[in-house]
Amino acid sequence: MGYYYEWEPSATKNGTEKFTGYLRDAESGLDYAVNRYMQPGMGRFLTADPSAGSDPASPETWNRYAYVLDDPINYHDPYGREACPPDDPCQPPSTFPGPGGSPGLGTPDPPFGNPEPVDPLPPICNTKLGNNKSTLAFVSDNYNAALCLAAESGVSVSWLLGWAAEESGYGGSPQAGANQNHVNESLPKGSVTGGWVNAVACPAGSASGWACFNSFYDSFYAALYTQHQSWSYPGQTNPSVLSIISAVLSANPNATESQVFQAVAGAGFDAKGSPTNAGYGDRVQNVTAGVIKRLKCLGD
Amino acid sequence: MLGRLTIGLRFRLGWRRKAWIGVIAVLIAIGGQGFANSFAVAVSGNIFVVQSDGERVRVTSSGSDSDPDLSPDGRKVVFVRRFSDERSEIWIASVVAAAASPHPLPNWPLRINGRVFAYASSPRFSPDGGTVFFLVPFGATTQAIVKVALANPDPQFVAAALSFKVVVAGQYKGDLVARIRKAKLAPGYYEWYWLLTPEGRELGIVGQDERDVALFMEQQK
Repeated sequence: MGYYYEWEPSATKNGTEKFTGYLRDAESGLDYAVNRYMQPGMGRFLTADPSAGSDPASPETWNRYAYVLDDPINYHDPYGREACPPDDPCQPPSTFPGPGGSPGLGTPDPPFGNPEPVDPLPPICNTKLGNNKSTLAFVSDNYNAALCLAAESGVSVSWLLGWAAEESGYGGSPQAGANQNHVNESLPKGSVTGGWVNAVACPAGSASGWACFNSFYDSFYAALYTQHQSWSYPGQTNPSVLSIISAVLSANPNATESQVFQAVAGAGFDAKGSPTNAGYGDRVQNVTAGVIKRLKCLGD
Repeated sequence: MLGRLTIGLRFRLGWRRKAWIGVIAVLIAIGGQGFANSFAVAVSGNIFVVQSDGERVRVTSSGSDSDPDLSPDGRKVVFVRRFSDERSEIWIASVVAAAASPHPLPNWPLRINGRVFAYASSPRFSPDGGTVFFLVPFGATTQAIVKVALANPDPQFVAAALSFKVVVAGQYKGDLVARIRKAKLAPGYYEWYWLLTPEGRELGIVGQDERDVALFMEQQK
């Protein structure tokens, strides 16, 4: 297949006009048309053309995922709707015919003919892409518990969910599944609870080396409120994660999430000398940014 | 048939004997690094050493002891003495009956680099018997390997790890295989097994799970 003039087979910087003037989305690596997303390197849309009907005499029209009848030399499709000759600017979506070929007057019938270019959900919300289904489920399933904890602790929902998403890989870790342990509270050999508040004796089949809880809420409550004799933070005896967060924000109300969680790690959560201590705050902050996007998918 | 045998054992053997049979079977299965064929076991919170001739030597009687390891020369045992769910210490005792006087190995609570540790587990001798390695809780998300030389019981930090084994033979004799938690590029963590020197320097990856470790240890014999 020959490359069209603006064709690039791999994703590039966000906001760069690519391939017939589409915008490229940095997070998904997909090219954005008004009505559909297109995957670079494939020359195919990821969703079917909403306006395409099949013409039995034109086999190219049978495939509603193909770009401009598989002929990008002679046609273009700026709206992701139909193949247009080079000298035809193509009609914008507002004048596309409605169902049955009638003119798009009045209130259009979705998904055809919105009077304004639609603002579709970003690809991160598309549960058919990548691991979006499981990451959105993690945010959705644990939102209410995080809301309760946020009300009790004063720590924001997005920080709480972001921290748990970083620790558990959006709930994908063995201990998150088997032990209801979402913040990697470790369990020393021979100990029943490891001193974690609300921890329970681990049942058979649990991931070894990790404390067990009855719920996301209990695991997160333990992570926030358990006091630790072996941790050290200036001016505090037996600090907890929550007492450290409070102290950092009291000293500097403008502290970034990265700074706050790096302080939490340094005090003992992910102790200095651990291979995961360096950059800990940055990782939590980055994942929180992803969680905030996912919260928007869910209408928060 | 197996059910009948199990029932027969249940009726004919007392719980103490059944416990011994279970302990011996497990230890035969996993092998040991003790002196000749001697090994140490914990039964009902007390430490015993079973000599190669079958003689049993009681080492402790506190009812709170577990996880023993016999020194390579068969003369000492290290073990965990548990006081509560949040407090346990590493102790050492002589196997020579007349000299049996269990005592803490380092001073407790443990102090390393200004930090205080009240809980320890999994003590293991080095192959030369001169050093004991064990684990302490190290922050929330991992533990740490600590080593104590018998000649100078100042504890030293080795590396952050979730668990470890001592390599007792072969090219890497004296090194450690440790399960270490590291961050993924994406959110989340992985816990692979790494070969470490006794000083904590990473030599390489042993594998991703216990089977890889077992194969590696088998190759060292």
